[in-house]
Amino acid sequence: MQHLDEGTIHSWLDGALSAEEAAQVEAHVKECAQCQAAVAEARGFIAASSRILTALDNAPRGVIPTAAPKRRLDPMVWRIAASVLVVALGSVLVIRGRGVGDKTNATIELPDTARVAPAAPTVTVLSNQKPVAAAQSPNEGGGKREAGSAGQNRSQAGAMASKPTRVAAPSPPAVAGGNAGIRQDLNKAAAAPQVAEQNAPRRFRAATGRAVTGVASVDALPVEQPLRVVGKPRALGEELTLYEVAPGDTVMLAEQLKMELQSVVVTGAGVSQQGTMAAAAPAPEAKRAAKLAPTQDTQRSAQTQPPVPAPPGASVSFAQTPDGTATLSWRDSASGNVMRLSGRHTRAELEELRRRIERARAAAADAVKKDP
Amino acid sequence: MTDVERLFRTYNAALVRYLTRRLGDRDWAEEVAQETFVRALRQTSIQNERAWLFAVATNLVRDEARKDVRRRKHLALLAEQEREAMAEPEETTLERAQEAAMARKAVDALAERDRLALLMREEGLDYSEIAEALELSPGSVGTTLSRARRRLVESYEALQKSREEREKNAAS
Repeated sequence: MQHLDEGTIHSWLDGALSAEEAAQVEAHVKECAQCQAAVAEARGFIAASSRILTALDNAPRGVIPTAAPKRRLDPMVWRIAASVLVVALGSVLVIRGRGVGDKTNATIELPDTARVAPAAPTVTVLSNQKPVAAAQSPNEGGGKREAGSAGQNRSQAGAMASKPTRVAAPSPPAVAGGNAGIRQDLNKAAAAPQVAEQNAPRRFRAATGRAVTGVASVDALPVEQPLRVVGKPRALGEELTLYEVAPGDTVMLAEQLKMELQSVVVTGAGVSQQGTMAAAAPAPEAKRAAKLAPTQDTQRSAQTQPPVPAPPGASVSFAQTPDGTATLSWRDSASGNVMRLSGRHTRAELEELRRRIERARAAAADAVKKDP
Repeated sequence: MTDVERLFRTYNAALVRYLTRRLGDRDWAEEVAQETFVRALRQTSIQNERAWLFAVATNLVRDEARKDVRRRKHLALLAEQEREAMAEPEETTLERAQEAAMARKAVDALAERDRLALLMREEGLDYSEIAEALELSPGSVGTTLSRARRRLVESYEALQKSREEREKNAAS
């Protein structure tokens, strides 16, 4: 018998030969010193390669940029919103029951909220969550794969959202019971009567009373409490901010990040188109452009470009869906970005909220300038 | 227990280990393994389960790589950086990380078919299963494996030697 080839030796050592073949090999190896050495070497290769491959088992995780996890609002936000609403609603029920909720009555007695809380129907909580749910929806579109490929852009958008100049960060409420609620301006609401009627059942003009005990004057509540930012859902191409108007009542401000559009125009199509496209900046195009936005660098450089002035006549628009969610759109005079403010409010209220938000953002921007 | 559950429990660990060794990333390996079991769900009958699973997983990796060569290059770069980054902390970890990096280099240096056959064998597939999964003739599996093992060990030892020389030069 001629000497064994390496493949046969490995097959034999791996137990892959038939009984008959194995017996032949075994008999030869006993006789042949050269093949004994080859078998010994093969054993060494088998053991060593196993050992080498074992070293691969501590492979790092996350080398591959996998799909970004769906970002949802912190469940805690829901819980806080729901519990605050329950308490507030309970307060209203009790106030109405006692007949002290009259508008002409300047003072109302705020009850012990803990006592009345269970009286509030939980169904109302669900219906009032709608605006927030709507705010969340831009995040939920798109399959896993798409999210994965957009992972980098997404994280860049997140990084940008955390830039100080872009964050509208009102100072925390200074007044006790500060997150209590806004003063409803009935005169303004009357300007849009149908909408006001639709939304009427959700209205309440009461503080949670968490910190306010005893007698408090409703009209004495500070009108210009800063709106509290309760969430910043992440979305591609726009910066979303959730403001709490009243407990359980939030509005969402969506700022479309125009510079991503510009960056695409600059790197993609001709520069001559830049002005017209950016000035028109229709919403779907801005979104598509944001998805295509190639690198963080171009976004950064685009951000420093001067804002495009708002086109005349396209200042403010208002739309409302059948479920009562209204959206106010305008172009921010400072940045030139398209802003959308949505919530279950009348146009007048949204405009009032817009005014307050813009003031808060301006104040935040000033604060950043003074103290960078 | 459903059939897929049984398949998963029986083969997932081996499949993930095989894919991890093949890809160098555990997350990716788990993703491909899951996709493999999803494919298995759609099958009415599978003759040789293990060979089928390893073949499908291998093809998934191959298809993905073919689809996106650029991504793979980028990932290889990231993986390299990751390996280098891993070699930072205390000495035992450094030692292990260097071994892993050399092992990866040695495995990557193998021909694709040799590499896959070897990795499958390490997961306990017998010669007929390897032949089925890789569409080889059963008689050539021994030769493939012997070549793969020899080359793996030799290139690993060469890497080890050059590292020792580097360290010696650095010390002197």
